[in-house]
Order: sequence, then C-alpha cells, then structure tokens
Amino acid sequence: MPVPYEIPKGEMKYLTYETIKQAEFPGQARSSQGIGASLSFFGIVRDSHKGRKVTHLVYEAYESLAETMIEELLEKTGRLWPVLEARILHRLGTVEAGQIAVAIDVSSAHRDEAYRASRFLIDEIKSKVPIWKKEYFEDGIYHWGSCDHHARLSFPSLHEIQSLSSQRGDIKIFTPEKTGFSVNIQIK
Amino acid sequence: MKITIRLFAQLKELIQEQELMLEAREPVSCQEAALQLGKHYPGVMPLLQRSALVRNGVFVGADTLLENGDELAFLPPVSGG
Repeated sequence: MPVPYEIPKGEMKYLTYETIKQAEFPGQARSSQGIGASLSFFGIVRDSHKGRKVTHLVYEAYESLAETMIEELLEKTGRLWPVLEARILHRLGTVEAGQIAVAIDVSSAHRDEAYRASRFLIDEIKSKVPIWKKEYFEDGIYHWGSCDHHARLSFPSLHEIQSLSSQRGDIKIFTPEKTGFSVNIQIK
Repeated sequence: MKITIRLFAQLKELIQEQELMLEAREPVSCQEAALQLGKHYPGVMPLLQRSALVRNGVFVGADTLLENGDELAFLPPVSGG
C-alpha cells in the first residue's frame, strides 16, 4: 500500500498564478552568512518560435506533485553542491511574451557551485517536473510545448507495451458525472 | 474495484475530461488501465505510450497493480520552464 502523497497545506510555495516581478524576486533579503555569490535566472516567454510570432503561453501543472518534486529537487541540489540558499518560482496560467515564466535564485560561498546549481535546477525543472505549456501564435493557433531532453524515458512508461489490445471485458470507464444515481419515486 | 484516472495537458484535451472513473471486477494493472483508455478513446494510445504513470503521487511502472480507491494519473511529456 503506497503512502499517499501530502498536498501542501496553504498556499503553493513554488507555483504561482501571479505575475513574477524581477525586482521583487526572490523577495526575502539574503542572509549574509558566508555568501560570496548570488545568481538569478529568469526564464522569459520568447516572442517568437521558428519565425512565428508568439503572443503568450498558458501553463498548467499537476500542482501537488510539482510542488513535491520541486521541493525534492532543492534538497537534491543542496546535497550535490554547497548551496546556501535557493528559491524557485514557476508561473501557471497565462504568461504574455516578454514576461517571466520561471525564476530561480541561488546563493553560495563561491560562484562555481552557484552556476552549477542554477543550471541543474532549470534543466531538471524542464525535463522532470509535471508542468506543461501551450504556446499561442499571433493567428490564434497553438501547440503544446515539447521538452528537448529525452528524460521522459527515465520514468517507467508504457512504451514497452507489446500488445495494444485488451482482452478484459469486465472493465468500465466513465466520467464521474455520469455515475449518477437512480431515484425511485413511488406515487401512492 | 474503482479507481480515479487523472488526465493532464494534451491527454486532457484529446479526451475532453480531466478525470475519469474506472471500475473492474478483477485487479487491474496500470498497463491494463491504459489499454482500456485506448479502447474507449481511439487515437489516444500513441500519447499514452509516451506518458508517465503516477499512482497516488508516486511514479510507478506499467505492471503495477491498482487497488480500490487509487488515483492513477497519466502525465504526457512535460514542457515546463
């Protein structure tokens, strides 16, 4: 029996539907303890894709799992490098061209680990965390984003299925609304 | 047994639902749940084959058996950042 995941209580820590303002990120003053380097990365919605004008992106996420995975990612980063402070904020919802989609801030004693940790964090977010984007073009057409990495194959998936047909006759699939219930009204 | 299927992104769009229920008399594996979805919704199988499986918030393999009350999410290839 798997341990159920815990839905973060209260507000989300790493995901937001609010505009990320560069001047206000990371938002809290850095502790002065031993910090010699601080690096901020901002992923910005680019206004073009292969020559076509992009107007905005729309992000969605498996929110509870994304929060858990980003938290684990930060812990892993702290184990890999002597990072003193790190902060991540990723947008959900509509993000216009030119706006910040994701912000990452890393502080450490020396620049080497700050650069490595910052790069690691954005690469991992892009390849592993359950967040998806739709890219909208000027003419209203959109397409779903695709990750350049092939990290998806690092998760078990169904691509090894040999046979695509099911022999089971006892399985039903339905939408939750259609379960309904029947009411018997007897008029006497 | 009865489980909840959660859909995201392209899958949610193709199937036009974010949540489905699956009911079965005998135990069901994640692979079997996917095959049933493919049977119900033609054209979805190629994307399902590229999707990750998350059972109750934990990544699992295709042969993992589902239990009554489970939530199985299908995650298409991600595109965050």
